[in-house]
This record gives sequence, C-alpha cells and structure tokens, in this order.
Amino acid sequence: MKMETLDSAKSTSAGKAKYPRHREKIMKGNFAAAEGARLCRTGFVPAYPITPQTTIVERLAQMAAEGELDATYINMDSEHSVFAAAMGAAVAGERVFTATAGQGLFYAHEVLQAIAHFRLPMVVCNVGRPSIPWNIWSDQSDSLSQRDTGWIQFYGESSQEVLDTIIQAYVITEKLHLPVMVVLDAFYQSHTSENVWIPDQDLVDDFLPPFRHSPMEVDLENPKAFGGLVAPEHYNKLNYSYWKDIQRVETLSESVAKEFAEKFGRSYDNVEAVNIGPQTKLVLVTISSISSTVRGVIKQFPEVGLLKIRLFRPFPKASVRKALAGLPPEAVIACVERNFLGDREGAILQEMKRALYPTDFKLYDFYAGVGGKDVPPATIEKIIYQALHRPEEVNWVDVD
Amino acid sequence: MKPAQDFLIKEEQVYSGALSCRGCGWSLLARHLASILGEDTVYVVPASCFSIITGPYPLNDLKANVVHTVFAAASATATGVRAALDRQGKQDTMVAVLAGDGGTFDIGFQALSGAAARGENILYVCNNNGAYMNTGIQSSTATPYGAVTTTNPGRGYKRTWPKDLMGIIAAHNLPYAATASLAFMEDLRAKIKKARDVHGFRFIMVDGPCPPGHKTDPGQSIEIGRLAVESRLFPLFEVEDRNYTVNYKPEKMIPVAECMKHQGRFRHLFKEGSQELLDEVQAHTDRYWQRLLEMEGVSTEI
Amino acid sequence: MLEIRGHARGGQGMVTAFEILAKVFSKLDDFQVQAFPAFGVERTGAPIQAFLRVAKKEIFNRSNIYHPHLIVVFDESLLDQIPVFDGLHPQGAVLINSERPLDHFRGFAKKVYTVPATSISLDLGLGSKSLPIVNAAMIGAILRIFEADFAIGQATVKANVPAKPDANGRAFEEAFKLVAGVEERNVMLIERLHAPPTEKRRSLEELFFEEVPAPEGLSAPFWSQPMSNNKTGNWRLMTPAFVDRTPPCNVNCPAGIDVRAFVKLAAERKFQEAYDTIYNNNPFPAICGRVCPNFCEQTCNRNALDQGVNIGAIERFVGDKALSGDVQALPLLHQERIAVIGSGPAGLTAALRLRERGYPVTVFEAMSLPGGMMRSGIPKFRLPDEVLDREIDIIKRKGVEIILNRKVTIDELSEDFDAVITAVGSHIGSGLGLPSGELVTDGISFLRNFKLNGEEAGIKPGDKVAIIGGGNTAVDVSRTVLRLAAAPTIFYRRTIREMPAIAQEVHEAQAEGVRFQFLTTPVGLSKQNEQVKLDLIRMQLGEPDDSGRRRPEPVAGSEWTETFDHVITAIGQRFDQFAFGEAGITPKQGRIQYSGDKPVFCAGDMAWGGTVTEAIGSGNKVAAEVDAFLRETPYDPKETLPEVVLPEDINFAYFLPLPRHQSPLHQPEDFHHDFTEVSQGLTAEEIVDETARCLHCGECFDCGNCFNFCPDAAILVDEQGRLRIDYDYCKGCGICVRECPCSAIEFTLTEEAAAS
Repeated sequence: MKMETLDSAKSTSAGKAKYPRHREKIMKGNFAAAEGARLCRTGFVPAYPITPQTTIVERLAQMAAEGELDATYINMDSEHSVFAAAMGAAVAGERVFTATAGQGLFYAHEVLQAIAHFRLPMVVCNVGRPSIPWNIWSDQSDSLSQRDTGWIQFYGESSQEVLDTIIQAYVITEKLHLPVMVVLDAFYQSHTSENVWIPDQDLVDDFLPPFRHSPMEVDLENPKAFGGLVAPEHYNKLNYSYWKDIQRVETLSESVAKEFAEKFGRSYDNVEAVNIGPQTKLVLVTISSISSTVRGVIKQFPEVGLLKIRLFRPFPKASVRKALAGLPPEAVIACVERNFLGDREGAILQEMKRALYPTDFKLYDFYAGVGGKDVPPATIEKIIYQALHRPEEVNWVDVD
Repeated sequence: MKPAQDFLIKEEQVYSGALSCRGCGWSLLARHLASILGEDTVYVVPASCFSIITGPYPLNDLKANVVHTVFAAASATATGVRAALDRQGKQDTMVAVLAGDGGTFDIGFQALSGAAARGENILYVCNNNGAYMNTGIQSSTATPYGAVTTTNPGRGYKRTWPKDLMGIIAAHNLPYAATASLAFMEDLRAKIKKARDVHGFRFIMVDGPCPPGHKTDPGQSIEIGRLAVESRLFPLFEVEDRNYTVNYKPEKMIPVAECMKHQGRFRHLFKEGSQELLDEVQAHTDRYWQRLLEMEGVSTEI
Repeated sequence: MLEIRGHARGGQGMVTAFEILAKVFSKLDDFQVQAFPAFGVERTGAPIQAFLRVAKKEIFNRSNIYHPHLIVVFDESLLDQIPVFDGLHPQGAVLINSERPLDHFRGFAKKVYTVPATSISLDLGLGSKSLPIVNAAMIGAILRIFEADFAIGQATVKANVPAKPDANGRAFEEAFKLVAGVEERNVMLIERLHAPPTEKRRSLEELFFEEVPAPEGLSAPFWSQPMSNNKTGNWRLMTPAFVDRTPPCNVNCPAGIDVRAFVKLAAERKFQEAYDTIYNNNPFPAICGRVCPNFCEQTCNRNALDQGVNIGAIERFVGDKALSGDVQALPLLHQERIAVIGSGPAGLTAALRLRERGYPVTVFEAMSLPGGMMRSGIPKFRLPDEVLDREIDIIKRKGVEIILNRKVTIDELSEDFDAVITAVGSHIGSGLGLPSGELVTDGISFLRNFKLNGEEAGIKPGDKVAIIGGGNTAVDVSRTVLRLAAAPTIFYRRTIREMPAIAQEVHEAQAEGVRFQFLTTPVGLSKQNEQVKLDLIRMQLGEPDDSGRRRPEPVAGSEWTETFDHVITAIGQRFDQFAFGEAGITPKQGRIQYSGDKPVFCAGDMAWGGTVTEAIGSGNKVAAEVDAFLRETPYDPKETLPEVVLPEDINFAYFLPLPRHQSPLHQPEDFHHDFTEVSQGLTAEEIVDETARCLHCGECFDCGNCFNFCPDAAILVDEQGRLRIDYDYCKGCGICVRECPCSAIEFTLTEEAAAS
C-alpha cells in the first residue's frame, strides 16, 4: 500500500486563508490520527497491528524512523501488552499514544481498567469494529462495550475531527488524569482520503504545554509504590475521587473546545444540534460518520434534526438537555445504533433515556449499519419515515 | 560450603514487616536483590505473592519505586517504564521485573517472550515456587511432576512435567540468563551483580521455597533449597549468548528423594507402590542433568 | 439472632471451626446460619477474624459483625495485640483459650469462659507446639455454653474436620467437659439464639454521629509509608534467641576446662589468654597435652564429619609456650594450714587451688621427685622430665611447699595442720592371683624404678618379655621394654576395641613393633630354668559385664604354653594404706570418715578415675570443698547436666571435611635406648589451622548465616557489632535456628526467656 507523502500535499489559495497557520492536505483518517499524535509530541508509541488501525502505527513507525517524530516506538507482542507498556510509560512520566481496534481493544480490556484506575493520562485511538466472527468493518460495539472502564470517549465523523480531538484530548487527559479514547470509524474515516487542515507545530505547542508531571509518577528521589493492594475502606476513597473528577469532564471539555476554537478556528462541542427547533418533529441521534450522512439527508427534511454526540463518556447530560431545550414535547427522538451490546436497546438509546429522565419525549431505537453494513442516504430516509409514521420501540433497518 | 563469614548486606534496601509467610523465599530474594540493585531501580510487579508481600496501601517494603501491574503484563509494563526512563536520560536506572512462575511460565509468557525477543534492557527475576501460591496453591506449568496442589489434588496429582523455561529463554539470544538458589547465597548474589552489569534482557530464575505450598517446615526453607541443588533437581547454571556453564557440580550423588521427602506435596510418592513415580522423577532429573553437561561442552563459536 | 465473632491466628483452624459450628447449629433446630471469615491476606500466624450468625428466621444481613454477643479468642496472645473485645454487646460474653483461672480475666466482659484448648489439642496430637490446631476443642466449648446436644456436635465435628476425626472428636469432648464458667446457664446468649433479630431503626442523630466523616485524601493509588510500620513480631508462635550452649568438649573434660574457649583464643593467636583459660582449671597443660586420653576429642562433634579436632595438640602447644609469666608467691589470706599427702596431679592441683585461695599448703611426697604417677608411671618418651619439672616448678613458685622423700601418716600431721588431703594415688599393682606369683614383676613398680633409678629389672637385649594387661601401664611397660632392646608381647583377655589404654598409644606401640596377643589370659606360671613358663588360654567374648564390655570366657581346650624371660603384670592398681595407719577407710571424692580431730579429704586416683586429667578435676573439687569447710560456707556441688550440643544439632552443610593435623612421630629404625619424646608436636601455623577445624559448638562465631538468611531482615548487627534479633519483626520461622552451623540459636517458648 502506498503511503501518503508530503509531496502530495495540496493547498489552495483559499485554503491558505481559511485557517491561518495551517496547511491543507488530502489525507486518510488514520494518517490524520498519526499526524495528531506527532503534533502533540507524543514520546512513546507501543504498537500492534490490527485492521483497520494498522496504518496509524505504521505511519508513526515511519515518522519515528525518519526523525519526524521524537518518540520511542516499540512493536509489542499483543494489544494487552501494548496497553501495559503504555501504562508503564505513563507511570514513568511519558506522554503516550497508541491505537487499536475490535479484538485488540477487547484483549486489552483488563489493562484499560488498570490505566483508568491508576489515573494515568494518555490518548488512544480506536478504530471501531465488532467482535469475531471476523469483521473488519465499521461498528462501534468495541469502544461502546468499553464505556464502563472509566475512560473518556470522544466520537468523531471526519479526519479533521480526529486530528483536532486528539489535540484537545491531551489537554484534558493531562489536566484530569483520566485516559481518553478517540474513536473513528473503520473505512469511512480510517481509509477515506479527504481534506484535512493541519496546524503548524508551534500553534499546537501554544495550545498543548509539555507533558505535565504529577505525583502519580515514578520518582527516583522519593520512591513510591503504585497500584498494590488497597483495602475496601480506602479503595472507595479512590473511587470517590475518581467520581468527582468525572463530574468535571463535561465542562472542561467545553472550555477546552472553546479555547481550541479561538486558537485554531474550528468549533467543537460535547454535542452538536442541527436543525433543532420548534419546527422539529424528529431528532436523529447519532455518533461517528453516520452523522455526516444524516446531515446531508436532513437538508431535504426541514422537520428532521440531528443531535450528534461527540463526548460519549461521561455522557454529557447537561449538554444534551440544553441542545434539546427548544424541541417541542411531541417530537420524536430516534437513536441510530451502529452497535449491538447484547441487550434490547443499543448504547445510544440507553444513554439518551438516562440523560433525559424524566421525559415525555418518545424515544425509539434504530439498529442500522451494524457489522459495518453500509448506511446510504436511502437508509436514513427509511429511518425517518419509520420513526415518523410507524416506529416500534426498537427497529432493525435493512436487515434483509 | 563454609558459612559466609561475612554479613552480605551492608545496608538494607527493604524494610522489615513484609507480609510474607514465615520462611518465605520471596522475601529473602527481594532483600538480597534490592541490596545489590539499590535505590535507583524501578520494580515492576505483576500479580503474585510479591504483590502482597511488598505492601498493601499505604506501605512499601522496597526502598524504591514499585509499579504494580496486571498479571499477564509485567514484561510489557516494564518495557514502557524502560522507554520512558531512557527518554528522560535515566538509562542507568535499573528496571527490574519481579514475577512468580505463574506470571512467567503461563499468563505472562507472551509478554516475557516479546520483551526478551526485543532485547529490552530489563532484568527479569522469576521466583519459581512451582504453583500459583498467592491464590492458594494451584498448579502452573512450572509445578513439578508428582506434586499435589489444590487443582491437582490427592490422586489427581500432577502428571505432566514442568516446562523447561530456561531452555526457552536461552533460545531468545539473551546476553545473560541463569538459575540461582537462596541456599547458595554467594552464587545468587554474584549472578545478580553480573546480570546487573550486562545490557539487554537478562533473566534469573530462582528456586523459591514456599512452606505453605510445599507443605514444609518454615525453618527448613534453606535446607530444602540446598538439597534441591545437591540432588540436581534444581541445577545451577548460566547461559550467556547460548553458551552454557554449569556452576555447581555436586560431588556426592544424592537421590532426588532426599529432597522430596521433606515436602508434604510429594508425600504420596513415598507411599507403598509409588516407587515407580519416584524413579521417573530421578530418571528425568538425571537426563536433564546429562543434557546440561553436554550443552556445557558445546561451543557456539562459528 | 445470635452473632458470634472469633479471633485467631491464620492456620489455627478457626475458619473451618466456624463452618462446622454453622452446620451444628443448623442441625440443632431449624436455624438459618451464616458463617464467613473476614476476607483478607491470610498468612500463617497473622491475626484473623471470623463471623457467625444464627437465627430462627432468614438472616437479612451480609456484612461484618460489629456488636457480637459472644467473642471467642482462639489464641490468648492476641489479647495484647488486637482489640479483640471491641464492640462486645454490653451483656455479652467472651470465651478464651487459656490455662489461666477465670479470675485472671475478670473485668474483660460481663461473663467470661475459659477452656484449655491448646493443651487438650496437643495432648491428642492435633497440630504442633508452634501451631496447635484448637478448632475442635473450641467448638466443644462454644456448644457447651449453649447447652447444645453433645452427640450432634461431636458427630458433626468428626464428619467435617479435614483430618484425624477421632482425635478431633475427643478434643471436642474434653473441651465440652472442661470449659470453665458454665455453672450457670447463660440466659442472655440462649435467648439471643432463639429471639428474632432486634435491630431497631437508628435515629438520624445516631447515624450521623456513628458514621465516619466523608472520604478525603487518597486521589490516586500511590503511596510510600515504610513497611516497618507493620510489626510482624506479633505473628510469632515460637521465639528464637541467641544462646550459649555447652559443647561436648567442655562437658567431657574431667578437669572442667573451657575447651571451646581456649581453642578459640588459640585460633586468634591469643596464646597467653588461651594459657590462662586452661590454667583456670588445669595447671598442667603441657603434660595433659601429651598424656590425656583427650575425652574432649573423643566427644568432639566433628567426629561426625571427619575427625575430631586435635585439641590435645593445641593444649600441648599452648602449654609448651610456657606462658606462665613472672611467677610470684601468691598472697596468704588465711591462717589454716593444709597438708596434702602425695604430689601427683590431684595433690598438686588441690595444693595450688588452696594456695590461690590464700591458704598455706605443704605437700608431702614419699618419692624422691614430685609428680606422683606423672613422674613414676609415664615414661620419658611420652612425658619428658623437663616438661614435668617446669609445670611443677610454677606451682612451687606460687608458694606451695613440697617436701620430698617423706612418707607420712595422717595422724602425724594432725597437730600441725588444720586439714589433710590424701592424694596418694594407686601405686600398688594387683597380682595375677596365680601361684608362683613371685616369678612376676609388677608393672607399676617396674616403671617407677626404671624412671627414677634407671633399674632395668634384669631385662637384657633380646629377652622375651610377656606383659599381662590392656591399660596404659601395660602399653608403657611394653614400649619401655622395647627400648631396652627386648621383645615385648602384650597379652590381653579382650580385643583391641576393649583395651582401656589410650588408642593413640596402642597404635604407636604397634608401629614400634610391640607384639599384641588378644583374647588371651594366663592360667599358670612356673619356673623353667632362668625363664618363666606361662600357661595361656584362648578367650572368647560373651555377654557384657558391669563395665559394659563383653565378658571374656575361656575357650575350653585351647591352652598352650609359652616361655618368657620375664613376665610383667599390669592388670590393676590400688592405693597404699600407709597414710591411714590401721584405719579401714572407704576412699571417695571429698571428705571421708576418719577418726581424729582434723578433717580428712580424699582426691585423685585413690578416690576415683584413673587418668591425670580426672585427678586434676578431683583436685579442683576437693580444694573447693576444703575451702568451704574451713570458711564454714555451704559446699553443694550438685551438678545439673547442661544441655550439650550433639552432632544432630550441628549443620554440617557449612563445614568442609579437612584433614586433622597430626603430630609427627619420632620413629627411628632402632628404638634401643632411644627415649626421645615420640610425639613431636605441631608448629604454630599448624595449630592455628587445626583450630579452624573447631565447629564452635553452641557459641556464635559471627558466620553471618542467620543475618544473611533471615527473610524478614529481622536480625541485625548493632553498633557494637553484635548480632541481635529484632523481635518487633521476627516471625519465628526458624531458618536461623536451622542454618546456624553451631547451634547457637534456639527456639524458646517465652518472650521473657528471649529477652534475657
């Protein structure tokens, strides 16, 4: 597979003005992720291949080899080991980045818990795919099934968003000492070439300070033990502390995004409301790349709005309620699930119900695109039709 | 051997009060290891007895940084720690893994092999007491043939031989690997020093006495360790770049039964009708010993 | 609902006990039960807790017990270490495993019960002293408190213990009977058992004052308090302590020399201190180093490894260094004058010790030279005159008066002396008990006459000489005869193994060419011209006699005759009555019955023993007795046998076999008239090397093993460089006890003993 090189970078005169201190390139989501990691001056990249994330780590390997990236890159023996190495480096005071997908994330689950409960900062990209039987296509079951590990999770819909979210994620993780997972879609993002504005290094340096050291770190002058046996009486203090810090994520994420917007010129929020107002009869709730398709379709449907969730964990209850504040009570809310978690409702509906409780809104669930099945505009239109006219509580779309 | 005539540790690098059972090999090993590696060391400890011994909240037994990690991941975690320390200019800070046999032979095997194959600059010390002791004495692939554990109980005693982990480790092209015994303290300490001063992935496997697991009198821990070496159940040897050196060749031939008879986990091997099993253990021990001696003679010069 | 909480040490079986109790209660009535331990890190010896709830109805509580009605303590030592009685119900009761009377625990609770569960269990072989398994007994005691059905309880115990059901059943029974405090029924506990749970709702105030404050502090899992905050000393069931134990060499020396000490001093080349140490008990080191049978060496624990340390050679070397220094007469502190009859080792030692105590002493010696048997009975080639003279001279210079050529009686001394010590030895040889006894020469006389006067008893070169006997006298006679160029043959009625002579002497005699005929005894003597015809008979060994040696029995029909130029006997000796006049006395160590106004004491060969060293020891003792008598202080030499270090106490893994240094021997081709000392002695280097073979039985020599092998770093070297056990942390594992090469660390069972 041919790699992107700097030679193929394009820029337009319009582009030069659009975002100062940026260059425009056509790049795939995976490379955008790698670029994000590079700009954030990550120092340690443990890696293991798994489709469709592999090109992220390949890119990083190449960058490290050529000296574009000043990081130690190590080919580990499995994803479990990748995350363990990440944990080791983080507790030794290094800024860490890695990527995985599907089975790899499942394998690393044990260590995800450890990293979170050790309160270690790091940013990881997950390129979502479902469980074996083998399936390398777009599905968010893997990351969503990890939503109880305590990691912060962001879902994005474009290569640009991945790059930008990674930068913001490092600020958040090093402030709160909660690890962050940035999720992108298989193929629709990872392997899709599109326009990406890449900020200059010094712009990123302005925004993201060098790695912040903390007491939860190896100290050769004052040695400590990390993570041994903690009896129940003390363990609950740790969790209480954790819980308090989780409450801060929603507002912090907002303020970081705001600061980012000021510096980089692109706005993000915990959730994005499109066309939600008194005229809205139906709101489609989505995460990831399906959001883009929905945006397009609802241009033809003035009565349909979009609620895109970007910060998924901790679920931004306040942001969601704010976004839906103008929605008429008889409006219908339909969640679009590109995941299946072994229960009746998918993840998005579960979270929405929780966030809106108590509510008079009618909420429906639509499984679409599960296992990577393509979701073209027609499918979205089917969802709209069904949601407005004859919805079941839970619906499977285009299961033929 | 003569008594040491020397107090081998000038300054303790551990605190007393460790949560080890009476007569525990882990404690003694950590005490001597730490005295040699010193404070400029980061220890990585996967799940094992040592996770508990070295201190629950808020106590720390080692006078150094200790990073606890999940069972399978000691070598991987150590890899990360090493990379970070190197980047910070602390190439001389030692990174040492302290793992049991479960975390080395079984669940930790993959990560161990990966780190060894990558040549990570780490010292890996395995305290092999032949079972998952911390969880209450269950079998691992290091458990000796004929031993009784809670998962190989009574008539279901273990009927498979332990993995030749040293052979596997030797095949990873390491600069230094060795076996050592707490009963041969000067040899153990010399090997730790040697390993300390070599660059690359270094591996030391220590024969770990465990009174509750082996069903022995805590006071006999050193004595049984000595018998294990003298009967060649646990030979002392080094492998450097595939060259074998057998460090101790007992003058007298002591049958393995002399060592095993002190251990309650082998009690049934001494009952009527079990001589054949003892003989098998003896034969296996003899073959392995013979092979070791032959390996010693093999030159790897091209 | 009834709530019981238990406290024990890991490994004592409490968790199993509570499970079994639960089963018993469930059978006694339709009780619902719930039993569980406080989950935690369990290590043998570490304190643990267990809980039991019993109720008529379903139990709706799955949390720890904070306000038990009954607290059970399996291990009394926990009372000092853990707040075991925290939360006890105000009317609650406690049961303690203890031998102590109930009164001792008054005030601990409204109601106290005790049961001697440990002794009950150990008597039935349950567990060991270091870890008694008391669970069956405790169950018995608990059920008795509740007046539970004995049969059900016992059967359930037997069916559910992991091992030894009968012994456990018995333990249950004993405790059921022996629990103290059950005279009155415990109404409260029994009511609790049958009553429904009486949990009341707590008021708001109660709740919020009872609750702990909101969690603070710990924000991430890192910490750094030292492990030394955890004092594991309270896990200990047995306590090791450094001890000073008696080595076999010390205990077996008849003179009581601190052998281990002088060997150690010699090892450090502190030869003066070594000499002084020996001299405390033995004023004749150079002599004993040559002639003592070396009781110390015979019992040296090193014999179990290779060969005993050559202590004799070390003593000789130190003696030969002549480190007596500038010898002055010792001060006189008392008026009483003491007479000693006999200047042998016993007499001279007694005289010296009494002079050291400040008494004027006069020794009367019948022979022309002092020394007793050392002079007259031991040939020059074993003990040169210069050595003997030098060591006796020191005693003279210290102020002991020796009058030679004076054979005295006690009676003639009583006027001038306040006490008399008779140490006349045993210089009269026993006869064969055969007719024509005049044909035979007495061996003791032969040696004496030869040594003092050069008389050769008519023995000419080439003469055949028969010597009857197996002791040192016989051997010394034979080797003297050899040096007169005659041909000696020793006839002994048993074998070489039973010969009482010093083994080294026998070997040297054989090497020199003395002929030995074992299992032979003479049965007849007759003159044949100038020679003596000796009728001999073969013997065989039968059953052991009183001495423990097998009795020799003649083999019928095995007689034969041999002719010799001389026959010398050395088959026994007795003391000369002369000093006692007509009085028939029974000699024994110390004061004897003797008519007369002055006290008479006996010492040496005449009283017991038979070697120089035993005589020296006897002299030490009689001097102490005389001093006590004269000063009217009590003399009670009841000796308690100390615990001696045996080979099984030594850890031989730490000692390499090393060859024993043997003195080279003077062994010329032709011994004719060669009375040069045979044993040449060792050099200083060889002596120091030989001392290195000492195992230091019972005395720490700083090998470092205990320190190096302690898993808990609980043995340390203090500022004075001494080894010390830190009892705050010692768990009592016993590795130090095992790995101490020389048995200088022992388990004690009490803290007090350890502290002293």
